[in-house]
Amino acid sequence: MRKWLRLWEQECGWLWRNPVLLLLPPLYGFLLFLRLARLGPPSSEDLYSAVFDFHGTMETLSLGLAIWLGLALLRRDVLRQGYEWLGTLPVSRVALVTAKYAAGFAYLSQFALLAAAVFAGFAVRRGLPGDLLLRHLGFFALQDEWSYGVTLALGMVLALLIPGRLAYLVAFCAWIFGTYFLQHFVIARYHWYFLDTFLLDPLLGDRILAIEAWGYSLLSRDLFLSRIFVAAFTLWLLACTTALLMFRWPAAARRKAVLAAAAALALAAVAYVPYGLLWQERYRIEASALRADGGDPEKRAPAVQFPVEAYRITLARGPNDVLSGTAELTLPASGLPRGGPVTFTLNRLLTVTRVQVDGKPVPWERSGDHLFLARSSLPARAGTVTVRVEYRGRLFDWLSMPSSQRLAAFVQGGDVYLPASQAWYPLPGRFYLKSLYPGYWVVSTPGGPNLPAMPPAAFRLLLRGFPGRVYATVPGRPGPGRTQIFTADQVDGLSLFGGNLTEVRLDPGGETVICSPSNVPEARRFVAQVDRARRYFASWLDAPRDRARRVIYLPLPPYGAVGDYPLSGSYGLSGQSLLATESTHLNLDSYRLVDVVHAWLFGGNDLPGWVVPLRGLPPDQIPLAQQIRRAFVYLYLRDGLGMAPDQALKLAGTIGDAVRRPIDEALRRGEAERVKGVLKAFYERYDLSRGLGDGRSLPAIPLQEWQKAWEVRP
Amino acid sequence: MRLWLAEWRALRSGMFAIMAVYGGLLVTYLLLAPRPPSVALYNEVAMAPLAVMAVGVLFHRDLAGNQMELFASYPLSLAAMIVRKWASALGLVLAFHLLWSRVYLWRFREIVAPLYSWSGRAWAWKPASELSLLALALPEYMAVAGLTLLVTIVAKRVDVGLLAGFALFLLESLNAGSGASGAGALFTMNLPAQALLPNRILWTGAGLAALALAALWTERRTRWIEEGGE
Repeated sequence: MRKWLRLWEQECGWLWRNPVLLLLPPLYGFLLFLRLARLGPPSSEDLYSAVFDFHGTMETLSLGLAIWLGLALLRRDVLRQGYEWLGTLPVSRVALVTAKYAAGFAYLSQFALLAAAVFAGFAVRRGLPGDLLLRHLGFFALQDEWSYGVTLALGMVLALLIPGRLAYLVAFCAWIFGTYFLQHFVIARYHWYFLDTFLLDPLLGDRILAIEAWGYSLLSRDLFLSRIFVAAFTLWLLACTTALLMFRWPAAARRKAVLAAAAALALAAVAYVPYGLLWQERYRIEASALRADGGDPEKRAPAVQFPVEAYRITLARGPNDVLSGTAELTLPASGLPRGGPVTFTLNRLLTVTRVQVDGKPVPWERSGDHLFLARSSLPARAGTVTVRVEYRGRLFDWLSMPSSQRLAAFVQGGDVYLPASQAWYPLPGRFYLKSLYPGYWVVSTPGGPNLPAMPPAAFRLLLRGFPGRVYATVPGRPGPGRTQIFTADQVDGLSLFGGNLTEVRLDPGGETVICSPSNVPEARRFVAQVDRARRYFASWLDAPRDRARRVIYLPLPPYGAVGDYPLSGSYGLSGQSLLATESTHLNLDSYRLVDVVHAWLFGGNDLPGWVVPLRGLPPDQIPLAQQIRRAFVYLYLRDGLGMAPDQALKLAGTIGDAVRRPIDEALRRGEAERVKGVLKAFYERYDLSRGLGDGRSLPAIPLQEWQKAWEVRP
Repeated sequence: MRLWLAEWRALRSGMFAIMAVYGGLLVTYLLLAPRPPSVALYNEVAMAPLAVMAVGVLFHRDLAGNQMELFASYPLSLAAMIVRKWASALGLVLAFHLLWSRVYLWRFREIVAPLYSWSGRAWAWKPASELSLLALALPEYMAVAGLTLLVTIVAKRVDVGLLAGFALFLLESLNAGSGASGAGALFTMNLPAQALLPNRILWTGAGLAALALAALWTERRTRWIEEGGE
């Protein structure tokens, strides 16, 4: 042991005396510090996301240093011509190799340590909860150490395999290939995710791990199995290094070393098997989606739907995340289609165990996402029919195309994502939950051709067996036992979210934001701003109180799949909630505030249940009604917040002169009340609060009416 | 002239073999691809490692052992040697550029790519000639080769230079998604429209500055005599 420690000291001696090598870890920590110090308005302040991005890129670069170090450790003495006498020292080859490896690893761990320290410092300042911070640190630190471990070992093996300075070039090519090329051109293009464990830095480009709400907790099994394989692989690389060294400097235990290397290879191969089986299971899930696919999306029959009055749903989570659900739908019998089977849509991963109509069991058929009941099973009388469907299954809806893994819906431990658009309860009608275009899946969103907006119904949902708090698009409350109850009167659907989420609210009756813990400081500021806006309008306008009262702020498109690019600039309105996308520049800033206020006052835009900010068009192309709607926000920005006219205009969207000038005049004269009166008259006369969709369009308001409203003096 | 020709002896090395294998893989993919692959990807992203490797190929023999000590004692201009080698490295890269663009033209009849115009208008799908592609990419090759060269000379080791060159390439590739480089990006596909000309001038200037610095640094002969390279 003493000999090994002496060796280790000697190796460390070089590493800790080289000025450049000493400066690099502090530089790395300083770069992270700069990145995190820059977090602030107007872009996103998601701390976890910023640290994750940094790890994705900068750590990949530091892996270049790691592989260089592996080469340099061996090339400075072992591979030099004049140092053959080292082979005669009374030190075993194994001790030599492991001492070098340990010295290099200790040096590289500085990078992980400094990054963790900087992250911890900023997290404490931002009030991230301590236990969550420890979990995050554990994730990043472990990931870094594993990456450094395997890269260092790879460098050492290459030094012995390839003679001369060529080894450097080959090692750097291996570095570039093992990170960027493998991820971008092989895995993403061919969907060979089982090669993910060979990535030297698995954080690179993984979009699910980048989401704090679910991230590494959702993929914890992937990470665990991958780390086991990587550890076995590293062991094999070190065994090869020792064996190769023994061929270079002859040693008595040469044959044993070769056998050890072969055994390590066998161990690594065995270690890969559980990982490979995991991916096989995932691909099987996607294969079932392919089988259930409804064919060419362009050539499908239009969706058929019928109304439902009320839903009573009980969803229980059992061991192994198997869900068992009971859904009772109360439908008006007159709304049912005349002939042919009555079709419901229920996610294909859920198997139906029993269907009852008005208490009597009826036969049913299942095909893909659809559930067929014979028309004769349902009474043809007036009044209501109660259909009760019992189903169970494990919902982990995995998709792979176009380029990264995506999850359309899942329940795994405390991580829950059940959008209404993925039919975790039976939807009334024949819809298509996903469409397969050449090379990519499109997940259906409500309001599109494959999944029209659901008519409003009353919901009563009981959740049992979910370990953490589950949030929905309507508020819930804890029930007896360890259940959670959600009730709503007239909503189009219920979507559930659970995981690493918190609820941010300043005022019990005010705005709520549901987001991941790193976003809490930003969310708190945002909630204060929205509450203030609501108070301003509530004093003179009678807008529906509960619309857009909750903002669900997650890094995925509304109703989209987890892992999709958060590129959407539109919002989904469902129940009391506004589903908003999070990304670096789509964050909770002033533009978001305007969009939330707009959604609250006026509801959805063109598609039913969707709010699409329309900022880009020139004034003469925007209908007058839309400009008047923007004028409400403009008034708040100028009167309520005291903004300058240009700034308010930029946020509210283009407003033509004809609409803006009377308002500017009145505000200049201090007649804000008069502006409010005029706007309120239009709000009530044209019922602007109803929102669009369902065939409604923007009311056509003649310009003369607007001008006349300003001539009448109160 | 003889000195220029002598540089090409560097091609008889394992490093050049790796470079040739890489170039060969690129060309093979072109020959086998069902659809015309992205031109920007080939023109800039795929060629950048070649620029790094080319500098490595031309310098690894001379920086080894005590060679530089020997050269430092000759009545030769070391700065001129640096410039010669850099130019030869660029020549190698240009040879590969010619190769893949010819193969592309032969296989797909024409090169059509979304290109910015130099005057700063928005990009449009336009047929491109090899020369226009080269004009877009040459600043990048010069800059990458220049950085690799400079770090090689400063550290007196070719492996550190290679590390720096590849690190720049990887940094620019990885930042492509988040657009963090903005107007300073190395690859034109990540640039906003009006930034094209200033950006290319910037990178050309950086490459030439690195070359000048490396040449001047090398010329200080006493550096080479103190201790050997790697």
